[in-house]
Amino acid sequence: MIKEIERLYQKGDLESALEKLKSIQSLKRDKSWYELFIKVSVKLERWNDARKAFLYGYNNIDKLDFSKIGNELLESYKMKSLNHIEKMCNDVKQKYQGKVFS
Amino acid sequence: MFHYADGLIKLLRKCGLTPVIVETSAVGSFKQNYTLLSSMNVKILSPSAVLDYIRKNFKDILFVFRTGCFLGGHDIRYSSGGADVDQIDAFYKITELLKKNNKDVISILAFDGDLFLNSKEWNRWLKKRIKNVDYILVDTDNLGYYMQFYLGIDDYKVIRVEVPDIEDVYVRIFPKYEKKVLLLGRWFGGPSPLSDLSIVYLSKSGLKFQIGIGESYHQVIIDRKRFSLEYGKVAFGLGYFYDFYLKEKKEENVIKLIFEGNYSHYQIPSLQLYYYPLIYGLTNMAGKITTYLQYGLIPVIPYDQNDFHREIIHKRMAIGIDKKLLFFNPLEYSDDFISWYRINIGMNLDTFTIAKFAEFIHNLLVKGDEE
Repeated sequence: MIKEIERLYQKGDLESALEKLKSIQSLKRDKSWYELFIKVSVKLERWNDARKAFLYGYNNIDKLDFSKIGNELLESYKMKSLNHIEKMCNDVKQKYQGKVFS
Repeated sequence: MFHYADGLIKLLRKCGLTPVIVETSAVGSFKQNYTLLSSMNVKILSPSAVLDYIRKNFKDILFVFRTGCFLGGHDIRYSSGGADVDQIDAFYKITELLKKNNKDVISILAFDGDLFLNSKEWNRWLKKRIKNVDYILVDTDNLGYYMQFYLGIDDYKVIRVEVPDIEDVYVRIFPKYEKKVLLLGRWFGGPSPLSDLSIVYLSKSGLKFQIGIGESYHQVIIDRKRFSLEYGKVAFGLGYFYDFYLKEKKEENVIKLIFEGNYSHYQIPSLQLYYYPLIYGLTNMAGKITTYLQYGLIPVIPYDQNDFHREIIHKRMAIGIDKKLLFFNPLEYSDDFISWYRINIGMNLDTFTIAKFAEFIHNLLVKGDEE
């Protein structure tokens, strides 16, 4: 099942991947489920879902490399925030290039 | 001193705007800021060049902006060399002059926590100079309320300016942390819930870091990375407790405290020179807390009525100490707990970075309105 969902993720069909992930019963969710769920949530910019999965998985799943996943999650969030600022700045730039902020 | 001045400059440049700094006669009190900005090749105008610059460029000037303190009649003003009065007066005069020639110029005045309004005379002086300001920004809602109470100005926004750029945030998750509490910057003395054994003193290591304030941008970049390597695994950072353990009154009514507290003073035992008004503990967003958050160190702060404290405690980014707790033991916290808090810090960047100010500028300039 997880391999099938992984294929959906690779193809970019994120909504279907998320739906299938959620259909897996919570007691059957293992290391690979958490890794994939966080990756899909990050791609969909569902930051709160990704954060909650990380925190829940942290307390309940053994052998999951949370330093790696946590740092990837933080990096993705940071990049998303930077891109948002970049986009806003480009809007300003298009309108006011060369003006002065004193 | 303007904290994280480089963050603001970088943001403006990303937006294609040209920052120009106006030097005032109190330049000596902010030497580090000016040298940092010079190292970023920011144009700095001497007082004698300001008029000529305005005359030639008034059509291209979008904003006039000032951030910093206002100490009013408080004795602590002697330590700043009158820089607050000097800057606000210059801001007022430049704004008035510009608005006469270019009605589209926007004036923005930001106050950090060092805003003290215990002198009616100085309050009148300030009010005259800020009544026509387009936007007033404050670090905390309490500070805004305090200003509203004493100046009658209620149109303010809680938008933090003296905060890092998102690029300069170094929150990392580790399998293990150093279960200690770092103490950055000065210490006001007074009771705190820490044992000396739990504290890592930055000053004792003999190292100096230019993080929030610096003399050279090149050095700031190096020091921020160096600090991350050196202290990035330390779990906690110690905030100010001010007079938290000394207060007898319950802080149930912050409005009442703001009214009464303004006239109460307490001494900073470590310096023996300055007296801060009681209000400071409720209105200030300490620069050191921003730096702890920048590196994922969990601030250990009083669970008081300071709304910035409350905000980061409620978002699980900081540990709020109850007055009944006399001893905070960092060893009681698991690595998992610390990672959990670090994730919360790294995913709440709006709280302590330039993100919210960027949004404000964008909305103002592109959408034509701040909302």
